[in-house]
Amino acid sequence: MLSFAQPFFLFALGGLVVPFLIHRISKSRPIAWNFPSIARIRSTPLPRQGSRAISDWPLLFLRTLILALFILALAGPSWTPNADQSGASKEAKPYGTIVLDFSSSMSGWDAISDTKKLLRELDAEPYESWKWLVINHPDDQRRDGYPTGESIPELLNFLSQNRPTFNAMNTRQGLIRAIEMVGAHSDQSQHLHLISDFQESNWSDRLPEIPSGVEIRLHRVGLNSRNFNLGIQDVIVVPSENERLRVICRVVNFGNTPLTAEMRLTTTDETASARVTLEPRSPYPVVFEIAAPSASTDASVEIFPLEGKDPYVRDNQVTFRASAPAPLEVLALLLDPISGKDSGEIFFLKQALDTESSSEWLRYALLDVGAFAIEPQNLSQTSAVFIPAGAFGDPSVPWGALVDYIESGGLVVATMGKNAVRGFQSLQAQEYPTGKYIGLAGRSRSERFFVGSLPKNSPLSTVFEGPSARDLHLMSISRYVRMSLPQESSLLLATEKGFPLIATIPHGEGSLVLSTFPWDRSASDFPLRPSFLPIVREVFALGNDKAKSTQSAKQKPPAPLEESVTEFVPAEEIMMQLAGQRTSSSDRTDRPQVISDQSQATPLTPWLLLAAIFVFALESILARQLIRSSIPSP
Amino acid sequence: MAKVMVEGFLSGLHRSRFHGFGSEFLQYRAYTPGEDPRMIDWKVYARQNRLQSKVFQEETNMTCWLMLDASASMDYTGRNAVCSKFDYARMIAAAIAYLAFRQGDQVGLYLYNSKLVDAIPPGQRGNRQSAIFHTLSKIRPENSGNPEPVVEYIGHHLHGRGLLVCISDMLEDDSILPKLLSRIRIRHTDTLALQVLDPDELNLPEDEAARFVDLETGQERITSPKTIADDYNKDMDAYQRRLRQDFANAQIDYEVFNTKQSLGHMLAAYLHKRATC
Repeated sequence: MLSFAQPFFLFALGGLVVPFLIHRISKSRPIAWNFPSIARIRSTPLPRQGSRAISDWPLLFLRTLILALFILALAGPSWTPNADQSGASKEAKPYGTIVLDFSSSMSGWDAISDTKKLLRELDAEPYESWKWLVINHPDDQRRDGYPTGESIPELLNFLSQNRPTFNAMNTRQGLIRAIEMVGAHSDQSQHLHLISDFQESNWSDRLPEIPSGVEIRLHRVGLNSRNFNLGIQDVIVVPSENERLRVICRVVNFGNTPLTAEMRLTTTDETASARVTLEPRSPYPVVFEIAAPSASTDASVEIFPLEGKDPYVRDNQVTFRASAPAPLEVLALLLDPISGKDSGEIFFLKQALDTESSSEWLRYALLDVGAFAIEPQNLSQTSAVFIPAGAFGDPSVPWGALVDYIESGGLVVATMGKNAVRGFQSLQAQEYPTGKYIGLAGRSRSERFFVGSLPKNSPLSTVFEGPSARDLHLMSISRYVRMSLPQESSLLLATEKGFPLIATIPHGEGSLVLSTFPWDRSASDFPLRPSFLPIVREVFALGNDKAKSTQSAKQKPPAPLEESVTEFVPAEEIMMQLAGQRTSSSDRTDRPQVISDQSQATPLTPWLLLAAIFVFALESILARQLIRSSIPSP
Repeated sequence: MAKVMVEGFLSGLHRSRFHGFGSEFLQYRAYTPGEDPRMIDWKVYARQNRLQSKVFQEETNMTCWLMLDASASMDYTGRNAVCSKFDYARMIAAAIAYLAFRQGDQVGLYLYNSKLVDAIPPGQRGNRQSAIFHTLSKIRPENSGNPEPVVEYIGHHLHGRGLLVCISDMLEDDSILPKLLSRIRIRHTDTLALQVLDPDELNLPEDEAARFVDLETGQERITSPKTIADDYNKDMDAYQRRLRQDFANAQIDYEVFNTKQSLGHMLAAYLHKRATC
């Protein structure tokens, strides 16, 4: 097959008519000379203008041929010995390999039906044989787990028995496996057909380069109704009053026009529904309230449009566990778990946190651990960490991890005792704004300190209002650490003289709550007072992570919600990665383009230039001979 | 212009045939320097201290027939010529007519191409001269040239002594004009053949290619002048030698006028040559 790199040069062939016109003009007449008498003038052949007068047909033909050869050479022709498209050629047929993207988005927008139509068309084309590979399939977690086959009917059968996975797998790995399959017939003509919707969620990563010699064809499917989709983005379950649960759903209309939809919540015991009107591209909360089941049970919530059909239904249903959220985990650091030293504070703390209330749905689970348990993996699931006074000044406390935990939103509650100064030093070593250690107050056993008025803006002021504050002022403290607080801190409790007793120092997204006295009976009667429980619960409520305190029900398995309506990766971008500057692709609505394999093309430009030089030499010889023959002999 | 040429000519003329002589005294006329001093009447000079020439009767009987070729071939202006052959030829005719009239001769003018175009019979000065000059200024050369009818016409109207001046490029068949003019010569009429040619006709320019178009016939001939120049020039020379020989055989004076050269000088040289012959 003849092809041209710059076919627009072929338009210059129309200029070949110019030599003919010049031939006609030059052949017609020289300048007229009115002369008195031509009786003594005889006719003679006109001499040539040098060697380039075109008045002879053979010379005209040769000169036109030179021009034509030069123009064809500029057009960059090449000859590719490929089989023709009709399939009637007797030349070898190519080998075809199909790579089918089976990611979640292929389940919608008629992508599978488009794929089936395409496969039937490909089956009708003249190929020596077919192989196929399905990527982004759950089985491809294992190296040899890709579904494969050796005929298109087999692939069609696979499609009828399988649905695209919920997960977006590794497209790059799948393509590498496909390249291995193609490489089996490297000496034959190879066609690699990629069938996908080519969404960014799967195709924006770095793709492997397909070896040269393999013709790549992209077939984009699933282009139907891409601007219409409803989806449930998240479901959160929180305890409500009277042993009920609140199920909060966030839904989104991905379309361009408002939609009215119906949501339905189904548990084993009851069903609830709600009708909502959703504006385009705007999240909307839908709340259901159900009776808390006696045991954790499966529930589901789904959404469907009242008009039209959602082309992508993967994100229309969410299953979750309908139960109250789990208790918030609190880690208490115990330096010597065996002896139980310093466990007095933890004991009282546990008593306070274990108390449940019908009006408060937060629950805690206190776990005393050693210092080795204070690590990021455990801290990520922890709502708060308690450092008792005995551990505060211990050098084994991993303050680095704790400071990171605080910065990421965690809460650390630390009480101070005799070794407080070391604790201060450790925190300052971590560049934590702790304020200044002044000294110990209450060296004398008879000296007593009392809680002063609650500082303004103290979170405790809502708890101890009016007469309820009396018990707080009856609290007697014999010993505490005097310190000055940093500027960004908040004072929860202070002495009558204004020295901090309990303060919170924020850092990053979390905070450190420092108590200048231990929460056992060694320094005060605080743990025995009725105000101990509300103070402790309020303090630990400061680090309440709403996400952790609610039951967040992600879709099981998690749905690639972003994949629902993502941008397509342009075909050119995919081809650039797969094949560099080679060839282009076609969308599903177009016929696949037959693209020549450039590596087998034979460039004809050098041959045409050689031919032009040869014809030029021939023309020069002929012109010289004609000039000589035209000059009359004396 | 003819007058200027003649005056210039006359200023150098010291003996000319264009003055009357005869046996019968007719009148005196003022002596013009250059005239034959033998005609001076010395007695009159002695008496009147003025130079007077005698005019005899036969002077007034001198008739000059001017035969001018007005064919299309005369309407050619070469690259190096200042005027066309016809303009040159009619200036010759005008000059000769003026000179003749000045000498007191009768002058007639006959214009021809393929036929006799115009004929002004010989007459004296006055309106004849102006008629001749007017005709010369108005005529336009055209058609082919055939001197036979005009020569025949002149022959029929020829009487007395005279002078026939044929002014033409003589590009017809080279034997026709000498033969025709010899008939006039036989009748004792002095005959002059003045051939007017352009320098291009005498020496063909060597262009690369040309499409020659005959001014009279319209025929075309494509050729390379460079290639044929030598042959053409040789043919032309040979033709002129034949003409000269034929005219000489017929006792007809023949002269070639080149339109590139000054008409006054050419005419003076020729007339002087005739006077000294």
